[in-house]
Amino acid sequence: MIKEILFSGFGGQGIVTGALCMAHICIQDGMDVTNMPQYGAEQRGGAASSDTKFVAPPGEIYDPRMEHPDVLIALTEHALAHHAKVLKKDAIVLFNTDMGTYDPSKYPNLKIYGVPCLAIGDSVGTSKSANFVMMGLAMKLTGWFTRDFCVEQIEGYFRQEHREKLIDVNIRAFDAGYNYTF
Amino acid sequence: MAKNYTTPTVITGKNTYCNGCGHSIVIKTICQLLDEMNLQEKCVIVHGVGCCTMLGLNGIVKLSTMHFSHGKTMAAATGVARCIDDGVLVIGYHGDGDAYNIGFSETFNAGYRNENVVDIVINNSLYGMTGGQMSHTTLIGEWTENTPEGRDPEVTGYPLRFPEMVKNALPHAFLARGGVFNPTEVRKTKALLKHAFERQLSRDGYSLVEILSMCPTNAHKTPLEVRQWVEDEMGAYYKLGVIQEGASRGLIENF
Repeated sequence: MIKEILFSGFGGQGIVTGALCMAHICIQDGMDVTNMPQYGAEQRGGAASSDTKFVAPPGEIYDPRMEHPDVLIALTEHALAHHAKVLKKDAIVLFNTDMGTYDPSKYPNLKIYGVPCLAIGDSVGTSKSANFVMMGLAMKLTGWFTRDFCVEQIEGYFRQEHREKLIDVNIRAFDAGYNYTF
Repeated sequence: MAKNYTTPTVITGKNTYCNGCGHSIVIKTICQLLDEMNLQEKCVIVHGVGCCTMLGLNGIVKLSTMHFSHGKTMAAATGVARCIDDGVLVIGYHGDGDAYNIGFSETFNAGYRNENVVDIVINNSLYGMTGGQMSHTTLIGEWTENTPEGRDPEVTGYPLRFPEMVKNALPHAFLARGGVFNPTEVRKTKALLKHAFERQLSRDGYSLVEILSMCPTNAHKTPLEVRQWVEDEMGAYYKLGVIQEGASRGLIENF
C-alpha cells in the first residue's frame, strides 16, 4: 500500500526540506520512494508544497505527483483550504494554529489536529523548526516509523546535506512534536 | 534645505523580495533616476529569469517591462534597442547567473556589437531563485548549494570578473561596478547608473554596471551579516568603481 504525506505552506517554512527528509527516512528503511516539490519563484513567501510517497517493495509507485495524501502538514490556512478536497477520507491533518484558524464543520471527513507548532519550535530553539515538530507528531499518530529510527535518519540527512548545525534543534523539535499532548 | 524622500512614482505595488535583498534597493534606485530624469514613459526594462523576474510581476512597477528565457536578456535588449525610438532608455536587468553563465554569449555579444543598451548585472555570487547554486562569480571556498565544501577552483574554475575581462577588448561606452551594501555605496551606484543612462541616451553604445548585491536567504545569513560579507569578501575580489570610461562613437576610428 502506497503511503503519502504532504507538506504545505509558505516558502521558507521548511516544506521542501521536511518532505525530503521524510523521503530520506523512508529510503533508509528500504522503501521505494518518490518526492515531488511544487513552488514558485519567490524564495520567501509564495505557496509551496511537497509530496512524499513510499511503498515497501515489490510495490511500485507509477506517478510521483500528489494524489490522495494520508497525512497533510498544513503550516498555513491556505494549505488546508487548498488541499482538503484531495485528501483521503479520515486523513490526518496537522494544522498550524499559530498562523491561522479553520472551521472544523467544513471538513467532516478529515481528522484535523490544531498544533501551535511555531510556539513549540520556539521553545526548543527556533520557530523555523516547526516543520520537524509537525513531522514528529505525524510519526507518533501514524506509527509509520519509530522515534529512534527517525531521529537517527534526521541526523544522517543533515550530515549528507553538510548542514550539521541544524541537527540538534531539529531533533529537539521532532521529539517535542512526538511527545506533544493535546 | 531638507530633501523630501518619497517613494518613486513608478513604484506602484508591494514586492515579494526577501528582507535584506539587494534587488529591492537597486529597483528603487533605478526608479528614482527615472523620476529625476523624467523617463518614466521612456524606458523599457528587459529582465531575465531569476529573482529579477519578479520585477515584472504583481504590478510592483508601472513601467514597460519584457521577459524572456534565461540568458537571453541582452539578446532581447538588442532587439528592443534596434527598433525603439530615440530618447528611450533600454535597460537589461539580470543576475550574474543569467548574465555570465547561461547568458554569457548574449551578454558578451551585445557588448561586442556595442549595442545601445545599459546592462545592469546584479551580482550575488550565486543562482538565487533556484536555491543558491554556484555561478561564475562564486568566490573561492564559498559555500553554495552544490559546493557544500566550498568552491574548489581546480575543479570548477576561478571566479569571473566580467567587466575587467572585456575592458580594452571592445569599444564599450562605460564599464563600472557598484554595490548596495551600505548607503554610501548605494549613492555611488546611483551615480554610476545615472552616468550609464546618460551615455546610452547620447547613443554612445554599450554600458555595463555590475552591482554587488546581498542574498541573505541563500547565504544562510541574517541581512546584517550578509551585508558585511558582501562588503568584505566580495568587495575584496570584485573592485568597485569605474572600470572603463570607453570611447564614444566619434572616437571609434582610433580603436
